[in-house]
Amino acid sequence: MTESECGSTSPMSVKRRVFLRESAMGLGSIALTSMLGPEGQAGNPAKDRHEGIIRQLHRPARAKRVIFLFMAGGPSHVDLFDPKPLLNKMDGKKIPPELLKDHQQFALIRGMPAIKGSPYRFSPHGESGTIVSELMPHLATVADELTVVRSMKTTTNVHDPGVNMMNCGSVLFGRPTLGAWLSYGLGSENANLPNYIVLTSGPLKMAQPLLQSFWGNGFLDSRHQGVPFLKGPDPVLHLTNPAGVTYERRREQLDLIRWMNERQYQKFNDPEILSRVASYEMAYRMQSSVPELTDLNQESKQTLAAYGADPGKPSFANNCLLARRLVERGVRFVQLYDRGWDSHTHIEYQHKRQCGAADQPIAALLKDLRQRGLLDDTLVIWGGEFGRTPVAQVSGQTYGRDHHPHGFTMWMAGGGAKPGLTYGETDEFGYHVADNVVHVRDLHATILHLMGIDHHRFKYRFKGLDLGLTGVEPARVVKDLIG
Amino acid sequence: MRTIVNRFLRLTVAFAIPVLSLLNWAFADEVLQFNRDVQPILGDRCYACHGPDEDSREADLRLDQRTSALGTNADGAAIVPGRPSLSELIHRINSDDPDEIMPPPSHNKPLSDSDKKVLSSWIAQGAKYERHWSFTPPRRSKLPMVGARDWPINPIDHFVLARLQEADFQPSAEAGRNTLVRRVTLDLTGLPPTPAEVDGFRQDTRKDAYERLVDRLMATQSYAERRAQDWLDLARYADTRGFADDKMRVMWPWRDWVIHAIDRNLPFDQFTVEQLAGDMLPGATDDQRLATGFHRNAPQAKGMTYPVEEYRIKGVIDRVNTIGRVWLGLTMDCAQCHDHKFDPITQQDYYSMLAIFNNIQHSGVGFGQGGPTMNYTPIASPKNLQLAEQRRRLEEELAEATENLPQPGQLDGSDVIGTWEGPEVVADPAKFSVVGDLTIVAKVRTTETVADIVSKYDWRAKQRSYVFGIGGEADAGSLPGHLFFWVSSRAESFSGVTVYSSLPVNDGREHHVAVEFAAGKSVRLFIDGIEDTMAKMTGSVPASIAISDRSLAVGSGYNGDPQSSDFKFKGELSGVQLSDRAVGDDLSIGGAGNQVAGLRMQLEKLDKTEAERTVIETVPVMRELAEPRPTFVHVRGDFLDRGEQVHPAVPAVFAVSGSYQPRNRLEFARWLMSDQNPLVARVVVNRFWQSYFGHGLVRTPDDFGVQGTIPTHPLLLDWLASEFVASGWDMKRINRLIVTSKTYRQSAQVSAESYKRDPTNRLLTQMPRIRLPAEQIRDQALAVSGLLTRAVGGPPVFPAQPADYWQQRVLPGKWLSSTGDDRYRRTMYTYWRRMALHPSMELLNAPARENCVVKRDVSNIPTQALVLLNDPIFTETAQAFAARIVHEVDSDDTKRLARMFRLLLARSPDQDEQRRFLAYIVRLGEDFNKDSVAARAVAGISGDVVAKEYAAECAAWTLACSVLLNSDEAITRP
Repeated sequence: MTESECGSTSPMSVKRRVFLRESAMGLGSIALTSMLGPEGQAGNPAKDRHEGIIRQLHRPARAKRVIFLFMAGGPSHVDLFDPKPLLNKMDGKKIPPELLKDHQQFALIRGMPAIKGSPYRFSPHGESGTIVSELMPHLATVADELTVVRSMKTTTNVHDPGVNMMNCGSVLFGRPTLGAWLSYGLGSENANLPNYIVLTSGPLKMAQPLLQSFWGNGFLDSRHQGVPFLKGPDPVLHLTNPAGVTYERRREQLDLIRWMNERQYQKFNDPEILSRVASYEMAYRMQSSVPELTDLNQESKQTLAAYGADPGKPSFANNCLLARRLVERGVRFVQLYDRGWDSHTHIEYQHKRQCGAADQPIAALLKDLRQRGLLDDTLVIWGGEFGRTPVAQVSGQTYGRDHHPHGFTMWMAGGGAKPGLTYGETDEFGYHVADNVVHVRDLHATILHLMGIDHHRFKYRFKGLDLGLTGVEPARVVKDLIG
Repeated sequence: MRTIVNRFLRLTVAFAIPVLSLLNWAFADEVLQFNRDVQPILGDRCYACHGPDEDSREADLRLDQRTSALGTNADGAAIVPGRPSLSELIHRINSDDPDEIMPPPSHNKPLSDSDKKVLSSWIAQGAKYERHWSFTPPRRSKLPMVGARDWPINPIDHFVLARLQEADFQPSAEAGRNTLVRRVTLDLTGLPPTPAEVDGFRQDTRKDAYERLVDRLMATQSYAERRAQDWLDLARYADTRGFADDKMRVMWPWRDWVIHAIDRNLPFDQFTVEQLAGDMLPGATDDQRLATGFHRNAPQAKGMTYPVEEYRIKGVIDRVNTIGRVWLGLTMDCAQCHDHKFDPITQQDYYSMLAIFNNIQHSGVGFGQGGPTMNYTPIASPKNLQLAEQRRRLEEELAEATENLPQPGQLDGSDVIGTWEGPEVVADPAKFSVVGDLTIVAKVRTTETVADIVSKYDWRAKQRSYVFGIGGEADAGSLPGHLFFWVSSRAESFSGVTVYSSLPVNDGREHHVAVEFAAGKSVRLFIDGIEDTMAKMTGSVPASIAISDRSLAVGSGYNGDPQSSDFKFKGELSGVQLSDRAVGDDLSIGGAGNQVAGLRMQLEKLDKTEAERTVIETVPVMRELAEPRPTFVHVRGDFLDRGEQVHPAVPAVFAVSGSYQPRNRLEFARWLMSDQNPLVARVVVNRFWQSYFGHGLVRTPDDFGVQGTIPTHPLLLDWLASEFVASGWDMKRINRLIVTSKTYRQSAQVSAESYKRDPTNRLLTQMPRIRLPAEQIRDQALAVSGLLTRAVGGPPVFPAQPADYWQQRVLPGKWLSSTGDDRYRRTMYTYWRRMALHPSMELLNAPARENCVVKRDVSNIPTQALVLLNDPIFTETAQAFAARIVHEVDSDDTKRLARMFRLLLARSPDQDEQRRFLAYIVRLGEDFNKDSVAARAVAGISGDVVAKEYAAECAAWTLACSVLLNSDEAITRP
């Protein structure tokens, strides 16, 4: 930890503090720009949003916001985007051992499994001829918006380290996630809402758990932590006042708290007290802005129908619609976790179920963003922590596929990604990347690039090291993916 | 001159922000010190490529070592002592040529003009190197002379004041008594002072009133709990294993060990040795083995999907990194993959140290918890000690009560139908066939477990009637040595009751024993005239007794044979009397007996409680393998890529030639605490300092290396470190020194002058205000509302959290909120789930403890406001706080307000506050009088039995209490 990160609560004048921050002390603990003058202009929404540490973007930004559609568990690339006729030809035959020589083992499969072809038809769509499997007919209708990367590679075949890798660029726990980095670097554009929001969907049983660290701030200030919206009446924990406390009664309470705190500030001159005043005011505003935001009944019937959303019933479709409402309000980073893709068995049933719930809303989201002019500067990313094996886990009708980190597919849309592009390829088994490998680290460098950030220059001093989303291992901006 | 030009190569190195030296100590005309003035510049700008890391070293040049920097070639050396103009380094840092200038522009770490001046002056002065300050042993310097002699209270103040005066600063005035007592009570115990404690301190006019206060606080268990809380962060204590599985494991006995160790002020060297290697101590006690749970706190993966060896290694690596941070104040982590770039820790050093911790069993069977456990019976827990004390007291009372008891009463002769003075069999089977009420009395002295006294009962021969004796004829459910009585209303099959006494009578002493049968009503056993109220009775008391064909046997019984040849009474049997009436009352000794019976009952209850408390737990601990595992360097940190084999050793930088090399955990722990280790004492006192001042004297508490900050008060740090060692590693002594210093007692108010010149308060011109840790925010609310349960230790508890919170995360398990007292325990006992900490604690910056936490983040975010205003665990405290005020103070709002302020803020409200709050409460009262439903809801009153005025009053005070609990003053240590 450096000087600047110690988060001192020592008093100093606001001007002085801001001055210090803007000069050499800069990195580490940015002030809420809500720091108010002694005249106490508390609760001015325009001032309450926090600014990012990057005051001048390293390059022009193509994207201002991100929606990350995270298919938790790992979707099967060979069933969705990466057709491999050879698998069907060799269906049931043992996998060639040379494919396995560079890695220690499968996640769960033991021994030498058999190749498994995909039962689905793949066809080219749109002017670009982007190939999408029949499991995602709606997505096929927006094929020209997609930048499909068939040559993704990650470092682990275990779920939670895999999610860490995708979110933080490291398999370790305790590192900041992509959303936290963007909030830290770019700040917020909406004083009434958190800057990094997480929406979850999928079956409540038999799916991989979602850990707190998936939206963690790591060593960054906890203001950059993702806020998971909950299902049910309170999307944010304890958003609703206790029974009997009306908005008026709460307002009166807050006025008295503020009066106490401002007197305290006059006595001690500690700017943290003003930050506290501001955070109470933002909490108050969130109490009306969040319910307004999550009230999908405000959407037209046509929109609801396009997404397949039902305001009364939590679903991935609702979350997609909510994601649009969030980016519309300037929220920097929205991550949707859709659980249930971890199909070790019954993959045909499970992937149909998942695609059935996800395909239409994703297509609707892309169309909606496009129509509202938001897609140009909103980057949508789709993928899981890894793909699934081209070999079967369990034979027969109930077959499934195991975790597969060596080559898999993700796609991007909008936000400066090159539309209609299919990039990279895996070998004829869909096993290893054969060409134009895009490691998760390269994806991170590219995302930051699209946001106007040079990943080499976006670091945080922690324990004497300059840590970033990308680090010691090489990472490159994949220019080919940029439109 | 060009000879080494090519040795400086440009490198692309990550962008970073320079550490700003705020100390301004270096003046060109002053003699520069390498550690203080030069190394911070070289370390930050140069060592990445010209430092300890061999792999990334450029041009074969090290600037951290004088021999390398001076080179062998006099005219081409980077540094030519005394000759800046001949030094390539000076040439390079001043160059305009982008290919020549150092650091290279791509490095993004340019040198300032003053940096350049320092380097140049330092070379001119002879380029003297020093060993890095923290790698040299602490030196205890004399107390500096200070101007204001009456200011210092203890040595700390001399050092602080000297530094202040050097910079021409004045210390702040002492804080007021109310502030002081709240500050020190919150700091030492994590709980607020009660109004009585505040008054007590205010009124204590003795010169050492404050010291007395501190001593009283430090003697409490709350002190141990509060200090333990900091250690739990360092030790990454949690109740779950971590990773996706994240199930509970029993670590809490280790947590209680920490509390207990701090409570008895275990010296820090023992505290260390027992936690790192207690199992290896000669004749290790259970407590010492339990202490080694320290290193089993690390997250541990479980299940098939985790490559076992990879995750085993991760666990060992965590041990090394944690030791680095907790004891050495070094970030060893870097050396996992490559030589440390700034500190002299090589990758070889790292894995040599890892070898010391690599010899623990792991995943012995299947994929269980992995690693050794011990069966632990928590005897020494404070709760159990309390129980033991209770037992001792009861036993004493019982002994007293049983001394000189009166003789049991006697049956009235007219009631007695038979008398015998020893074993005998009555010839006529028809005699003594009692069918209704019955009383039998006898005097016995025996050590036998089975012996009949009187029997007309033969169950094998289906001749049941009645039998009284000892040990239940060795029947399956019988209690050997205890009195028994069986009676049946049917001879051929059992239909009646069996009774066993709660106490044995076969202790070899004479006892007066009796049974009274009241047909259809009751069976009572008497021992020495005392009714056995805890006798165990099975079945129902029959209305009549069956008649058997067996003769009445005295001192023997029947076992399927008409001869009463079994269950013979061995010992002394006399005074056997039989009555056909229920006359047990005649035998009772009355009140004295009741007292004994009562005491026995309490002891019995205690037995049960103890049986619950002393459950044996399986606790993860350390256990050394008989045969050490071979350890290798892992190339680039990859566990599969084994490099050269290494042997246990401490990092070479600490090795003292000729001294022995620690080869195992115990030797390592002893080396840590030996005087050969320059870091430990400094690192530990620095953290003590941090817990009171918000920052350590070294503001990077886990980095005392080259990249860390240098101490603000180096002499004070060293003095405290040497005092710590000299005191026998007495933790309470150092903590006491700090909180009794004048420095600590300063006011938190800030002068314009001081914040202009020292904005981050490095000189300690005043006390900083510190937001309370998550646990203390809730503990304080529980304490002032009167809800707090003050039990220490034990299994984790579950204060309410949103019911489906885990389900939303698809985490296994269900949160069942604790009921009763456990709902209001100190927050440190909350179930600490790594992957989903109690959400309110998480929002208030409590760490999930996935790894060692040396300093907590403190944020100020809107979701915290929602927690403090709306979370039921906080609204409940506001309701209880309000109810307390309304009940404790008669209906005088001014007095109530004063009570509220004094309970929470340890002060009375001022006039403005009084005016605002009273107006607020009056208005709310009127408001709620018109809205009874809301009033009840806000005050948490269910049903409508209370008057609406009362509900309105409670509701108004609830909202006012919530305001005060949310104020900055309340959640800040003053």
